[in-house]
Amino acid sequence: MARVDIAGVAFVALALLTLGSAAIVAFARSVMHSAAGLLGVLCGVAGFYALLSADFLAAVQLLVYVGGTLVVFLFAVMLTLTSARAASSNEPIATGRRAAGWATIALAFALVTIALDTIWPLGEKLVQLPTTAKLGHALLGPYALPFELLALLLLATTVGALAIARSAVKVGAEP
Amino acid sequence: MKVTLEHYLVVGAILFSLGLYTAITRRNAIGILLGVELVLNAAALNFIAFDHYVAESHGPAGQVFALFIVALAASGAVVALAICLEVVRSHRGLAVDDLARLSR
Amino acid sequence: MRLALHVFALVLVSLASSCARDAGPQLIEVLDLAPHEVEAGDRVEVLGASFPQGKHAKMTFRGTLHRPGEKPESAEIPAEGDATSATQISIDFTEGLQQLFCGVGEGAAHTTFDGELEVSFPAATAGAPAVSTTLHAATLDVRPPTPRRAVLDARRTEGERALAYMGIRPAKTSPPSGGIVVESVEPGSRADKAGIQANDLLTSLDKLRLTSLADAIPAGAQLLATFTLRRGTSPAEITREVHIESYRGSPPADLYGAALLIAIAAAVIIFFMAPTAGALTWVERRVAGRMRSRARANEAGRRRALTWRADGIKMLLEKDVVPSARDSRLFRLAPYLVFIGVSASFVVMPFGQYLIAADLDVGILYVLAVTSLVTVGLLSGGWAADNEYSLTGGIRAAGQIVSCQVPGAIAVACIVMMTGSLRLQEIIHAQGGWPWEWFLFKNPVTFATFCLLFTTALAQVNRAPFELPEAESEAAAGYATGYVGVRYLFFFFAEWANVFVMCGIAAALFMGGWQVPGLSTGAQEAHFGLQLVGALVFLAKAWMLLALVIWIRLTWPRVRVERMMALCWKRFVPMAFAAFALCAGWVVWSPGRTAQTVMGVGMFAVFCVALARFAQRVRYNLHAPQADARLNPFL
Repeated sequence: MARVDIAGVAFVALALLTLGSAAIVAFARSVMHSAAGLLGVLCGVAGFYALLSADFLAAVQLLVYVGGTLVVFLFAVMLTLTSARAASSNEPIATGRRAAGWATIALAFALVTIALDTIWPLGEKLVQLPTTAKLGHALLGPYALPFELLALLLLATTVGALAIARSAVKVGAEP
Repeated sequence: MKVTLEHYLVVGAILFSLGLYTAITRRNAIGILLGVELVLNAAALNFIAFDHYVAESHGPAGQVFALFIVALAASGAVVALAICLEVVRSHRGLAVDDLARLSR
Repeated sequence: MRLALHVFALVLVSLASSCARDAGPQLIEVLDLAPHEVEAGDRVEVLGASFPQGKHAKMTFRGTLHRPGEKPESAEIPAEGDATSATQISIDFTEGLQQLFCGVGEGAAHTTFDGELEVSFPAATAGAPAVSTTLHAATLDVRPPTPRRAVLDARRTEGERALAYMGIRPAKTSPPSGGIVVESVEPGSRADKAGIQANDLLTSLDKLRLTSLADAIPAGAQLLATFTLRRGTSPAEITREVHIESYRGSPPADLYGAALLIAIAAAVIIFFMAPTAGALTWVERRVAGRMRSRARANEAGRRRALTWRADGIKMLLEKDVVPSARDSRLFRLAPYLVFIGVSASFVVMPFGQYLIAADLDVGILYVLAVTSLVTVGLLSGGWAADNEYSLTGGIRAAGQIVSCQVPGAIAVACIVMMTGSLRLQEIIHAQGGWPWEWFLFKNPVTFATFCLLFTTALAQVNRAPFELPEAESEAAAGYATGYVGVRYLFFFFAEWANVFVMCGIAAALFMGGWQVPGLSTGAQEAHFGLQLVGALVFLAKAWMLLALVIWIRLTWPRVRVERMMALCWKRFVPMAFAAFALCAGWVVWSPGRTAQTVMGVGMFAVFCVALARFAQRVRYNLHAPQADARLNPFL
């Protein structure tokens, strides 16, 4: 059997998973299906990160994005969706869909052309897999300020979301 | 088949376009947010692909950016969904066409 | 005032002169090392000038070690020797030194060191600083003792494969001066593109001297392999770089090999997970029967031990009913998500020193990450079946898991901080075999951290006292209400396996994993039998924690979900942060070995005393006149 590149096979499988799930997100009728499609996209992208030697980031993507953001999405969907409307809850807009479709295809075409035609300054750098230590040093070193700002932002987000959702709970009068 | 930078960029471009299409053509607010998540993931994928393939002497800059994207996307989604919940509780439904004006 | 100024000036002058004294005159000179290739038992001479004859010198080799197939590693190796004359220092190249260069045991490999050698002699007058100098371009080639035939053959095959990958066919015989002669180069191959020709003599690969085919293994993760070679009769060394982007050190590059590896991993997971989950159900039922002092139920098999097999077979044969689900696709998908999430964490379970499927660099973070798939699976499973019991069960389960992940992750971060790495094997290496060397008894804060991790992990796997989402007397079967047959089996199989994973990880993080008391890791490395003993020890520790889990379930009443979540957010999170800060303080304080041992032994002694008091109490209760209990260790 000819030497097949495992990395290539993995890439194709992950690309199929990611783009297939993205198609589900884009075209599904039910918003729950779209959210499930997002799960596929996030897992596929985590796989891509692992292939691109960003192991820490792959784990963080699964932990934060899937375990956090996606769960919040699912909660929101479940709390705002009634059974009767489930199947058609994510209808696309009535008019302008075709124009939007063509515009998006044109944009995709432009991006792909740019990607393929540009001569990227590829570096023959050593692929060093353990990235956790490097990321740690970077976050406490050159990127310390954005890190602290992000912490502040997350605090603001937590307080803000609690404030909004709390008033919702009080108004809704549910225990 | 050797996987090069262009492969990842093409996947990122298609993901971005699908996300943009979702954000443009959905009526459900949560559906639009899902599209925005796709766009953010495509951008993060691009960052990491460049970090891997292009020589970089400033440390793992691409990965730091992707980490920030993950955190920011999470916080954005949380606030947006809290707002969605509030909107639903005021019995206004989630169709953004009806939400275009703040008062009924 | 003037006196103060004089004193000040005196102090300054003395400081300045002492500084000047520190940069003492270079009395000695180091020129070279000879010979450049050594083995244990050889004598290495450091050549130079003006050495104080008869004095004892301390030397440090500082630089990089290159080994075949491994990334270059920086090292600092001390050595000692005597100056036999004014121009020579003799170093006895002992086995210990050779092990520092080449590694220990079967991993020992032919190593090339390059870097600098610092030589220092104690000064002639007492109290003066040592006289030292450095040789900047020191190279040393160290051969380990001949490893086993199988290891040699394996390395040779790997070297041949690497050369074949690059398109180089080596000649059958190698010249006496070392190196590999290229017999032919495949046209169009990577070596051809790099400019390597037939009849070239390859002398080194990535700074490692090539003495045999076993050395021609590039470190798996680099994009370029740098060969130095000699062409024709000229002694000049030419450098050529070969692209080896998709060459990996050990995993197979072809599809069949990879599929076989995946099949083996899957078989191991299934054949380990299934019996463990089944045995757990049996153990729990027996212990429950004993603790609740009720007669044993009608059970199948000798010693009624095979009920779990009967249950499993019954569920497999049940008719697969898919109720009129709200969302049948998600309904079908959910159990598989949960199963994937749990099985994936078996990849990094450290069963033994080398009995780990993949020692990922992000080990423990990976375990936390894949359990998020379980959360999503439970949530979608709960929603997909069209009844409110499973919906509330799913939402409760997901809410509980997400709330308890935060303090649990911070507790794990405490241990990671104390070790300095996310790798599970390194965390285990940072502990020892004896109980007072475990992280559990290291200091009171880590004990509290263990309790925190254990409690939140119980909540994350939906086990008592936090099993409200799927308890028997609560909302039907919680998120699994709509599920029948195989799908139900998947959910509960995954839940039991999840409990085992949680106990295994806790055993690895806090109880020393596979470390056997009294056996050092070096000794364990040498014999495979001892590694199996380590695996058994790990399983014993995990089962001890499992027994604790079952005991807790049968003793305490359940906690309501919203109270559990309030407990997590309002109490556990601040406690976790406090523990984190205290652990950080411990790491900064960094007590010495004796202080650590004293504290460990102290904590362990306190624990043993508490255990003894508890055993006394149990005995008292057993012998109390109105008690109807018997102690039977055979369940």
